[in-house]
Amino acid sequence: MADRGTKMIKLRISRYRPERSGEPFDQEFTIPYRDDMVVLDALNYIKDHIDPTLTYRWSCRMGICGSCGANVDGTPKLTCALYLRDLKKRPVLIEPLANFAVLKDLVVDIEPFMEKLEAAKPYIIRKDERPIERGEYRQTPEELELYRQQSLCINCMLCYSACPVYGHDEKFLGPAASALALRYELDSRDQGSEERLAAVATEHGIWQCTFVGECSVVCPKHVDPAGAIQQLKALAATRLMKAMLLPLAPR
Amino acid sequence: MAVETVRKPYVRQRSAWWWTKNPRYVLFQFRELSSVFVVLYAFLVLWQLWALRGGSDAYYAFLVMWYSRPMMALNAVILAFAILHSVTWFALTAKVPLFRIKGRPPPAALVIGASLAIWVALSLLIVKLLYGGF
Amino acid sequence: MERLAYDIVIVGGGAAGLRAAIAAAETSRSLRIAIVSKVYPMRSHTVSAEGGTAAVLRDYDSFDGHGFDTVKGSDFLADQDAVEFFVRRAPPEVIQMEHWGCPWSRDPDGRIAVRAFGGMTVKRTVFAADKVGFHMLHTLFQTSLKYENIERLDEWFVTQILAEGGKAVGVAALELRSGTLHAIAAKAVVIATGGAGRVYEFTTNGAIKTGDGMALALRAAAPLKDMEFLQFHPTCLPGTGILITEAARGEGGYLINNKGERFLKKYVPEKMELGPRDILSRSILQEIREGRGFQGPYGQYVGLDLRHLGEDVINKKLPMVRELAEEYAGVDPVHEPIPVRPGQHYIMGGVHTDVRGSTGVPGLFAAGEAACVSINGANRLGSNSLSECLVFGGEAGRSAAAYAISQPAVGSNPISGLVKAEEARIFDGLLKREGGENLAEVRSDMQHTMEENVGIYRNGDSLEKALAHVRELRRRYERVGVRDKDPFFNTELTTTLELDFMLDLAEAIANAALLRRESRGAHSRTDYPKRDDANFLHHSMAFRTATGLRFDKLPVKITKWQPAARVY
Repeated sequence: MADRGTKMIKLRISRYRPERSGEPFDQEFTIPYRDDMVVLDALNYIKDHIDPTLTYRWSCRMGICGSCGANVDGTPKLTCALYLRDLKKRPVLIEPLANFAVLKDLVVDIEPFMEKLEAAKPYIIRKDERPIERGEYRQTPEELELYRQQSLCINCMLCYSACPVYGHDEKFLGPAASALALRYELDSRDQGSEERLAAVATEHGIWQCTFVGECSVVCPKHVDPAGAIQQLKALAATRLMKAMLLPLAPR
Repeated sequence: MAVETVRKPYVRQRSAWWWTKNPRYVLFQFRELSSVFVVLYAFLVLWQLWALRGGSDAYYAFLVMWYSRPMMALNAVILAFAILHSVTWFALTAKVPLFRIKGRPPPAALVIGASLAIWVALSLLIVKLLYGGF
Repeated sequence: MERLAYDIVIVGGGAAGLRAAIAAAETSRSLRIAIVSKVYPMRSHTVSAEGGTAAVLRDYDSFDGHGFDTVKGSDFLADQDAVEFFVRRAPPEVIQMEHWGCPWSRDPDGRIAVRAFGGMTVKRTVFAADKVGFHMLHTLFQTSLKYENIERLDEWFVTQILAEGGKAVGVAALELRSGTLHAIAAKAVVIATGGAGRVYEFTTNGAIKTGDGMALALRAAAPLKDMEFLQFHPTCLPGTGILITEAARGEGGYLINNKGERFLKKYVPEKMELGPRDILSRSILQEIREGRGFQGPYGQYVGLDLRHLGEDVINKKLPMVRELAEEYAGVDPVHEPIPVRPGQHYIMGGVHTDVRGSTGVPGLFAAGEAACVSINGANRLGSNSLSECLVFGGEAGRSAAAYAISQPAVGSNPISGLVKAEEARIFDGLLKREGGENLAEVRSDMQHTMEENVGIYRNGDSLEKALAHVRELRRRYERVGVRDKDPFFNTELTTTLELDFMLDLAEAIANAALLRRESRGAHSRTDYPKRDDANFLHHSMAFRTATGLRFDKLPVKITKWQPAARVY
């Protein structure tokens, strides 16, 4: 494929072929290099021109669908938003996201997250529903700003891959699901705080978090899940205190 | 015909040295470890009180031990961990905005800076109360 | 092989599919609904929509205003009864989204804010910064988790609509993580699989947009409508095709040539940057052809200049534009114009439906970009497509629910029988196939020929050439070998199936374009540069027959707006 004189780059990719062997193995590929190539371009090049069996997820290639996460040189990254030119090590090491079971090559099992997300009740809960004909719930730009940051989560799972607590306890609710719980907690339209906090402030819920903070470092959308969990802890603790001190007060 | 395949997801084992791969993980492990030293210091204080109850001779013996080189070294280590624990704890306080300025949480640097300043001031106040003057 | 049964199967988990699922779930709690999607719903391409969702919410606005703008934008090919229905249903859908928690941007008084958009005469485009599709998709997806009667089959790839006695009775779907083909019985099937941008080389569309549902429907005897009408968005990043939203111009951005001039004054002086997409894309191409483009590593482009908006407006209203320009073009729009050129963005055509989402095949419904009602006619106005997903997604969901309630349960025997042949086709045919042709090469040949010959400008010769080439590619496709022989999570197998679908659609697009000997909206024939209402004021309908595609005409429904010259 490559003309003589074309710059080349070597990648080492972790493969897992369950039909062939019980263990993952590394495979190296050398491909033509362009300065504006992202890691996903390299994977696509390999799949299209060298080895069509290479298996990974991708779609939007613009950092918003959250499909293409992988550990690159040990750090969880969106492969569509990571330029090869910014990587120092050769060969570039590409592995599936950590802390998830591997299905095939770079594809990991994210079903555990889907369950946690559902458990965190990530939707508006109302005691009284306003009829559609009566229009929208008013929400000022300031009220919107309160939860905007947490609403930017793309469910890419980089935070789970970075979280040692999740690596230790697979039942841990984890960063993204917690951030989304807070997103609805802070929404002026929501009235479901009681049941949502009860759902997340559990043994394997937010209290498991020991604030490593790495989830917020790797988050490509600056959602700050670590901060979100601490805020949830504060909310849950306040609620508990109020319940103890003022048992009859409305919550 | 019908192809049924059951494929086992591969669960990777985490190495005991996972935390050495990232400096922030190292810092985290040290912070976790710091609680051991904080507890250890609490025991030392209990020991000190116990020595005090044993009368002046017992307390004098305690002080000799207390100012020995190994104990000084241990105290230095404990102090380092205590500072690490406190500083990282204050770094965390910025994550929970208790108030907002113009709808935005106060800047993290301000919260952390103010918390640290108050902490240092209180510590100095205690030193002054105990030893008087500077 | 395992057999599953639902009342309603919805193929696709984007905005239209999720909206359909929720509408059906709310119709009756006893209905069992499955969303079958080849990706987790939050990966659906709705996520990449940026600019906004049109709806009449303000006193200064009117249904007639939105309706006429839409009809004029469509170059009078939209069905006006459908447009009237659509504009009336859009506002409650936007409010419903608000009630479900969509973080719409707000005015200081707390009302939902609106912005200007191309082809809309007043501000009526609702938005959530410039991540509108992302927020809508996640709001719909997260809300769908509330409904116990909505189940999901995530990462299941539908290979066939199962039909019996002329009725849709379910789908055959490949479960990726078991490598098993399942027969899923359903009283009603809703197609909501989005568009087919990947038929083209330079597209804003993600990898998953391979038009699966359109091809599935065509094979299940449903006609495709108006496939010759492809929208080319004026502002995409050269190289990647990543979309830079029209909201950038809605908020006041300029398009400039290499002389620094706002060249649109020569083409659409009244509307300038807020002209409709078909006209703007042609204007950019014209400007480049006349030597006033910038030269870059990926060919010629023009500049999208936002500098005069200031950092604050850009950060508040266009954060994603800044993110994308910095990340993928190495340009900070606060200080430099963004390089842009037109690229394939949307397909106005799709599975023919009425306003209720019915395709004409009993039990088969469609909505969203995969469908063609048609409210978009020959050119869609920006921000009408997300509203369309909500309005007609909801409509299709309710129609499917009503239909399912009226039907007796589907028996298991016919379904199991129907899927046997499909299993043989996939596992004995495709998976075992050894061949000299390379999947990626055939695909990129198709994309290249469509780009070259069925692009913004086309003519009889180029379309004949494209059609012949696509038919040749169909023959080459039969020799494409599959190297990954393990059926488990086999993305080589699914991309091969996707190419199979896309080749069907490429042929339908080129063929429909060849038959329409006029220029209308986004369909610009250099050999027939004028609109020809006498001969072509009709939809084109493509049917699949044993001998190939058969084309037919369907009159356009005109209620209150007589076709007139389209001048901006």
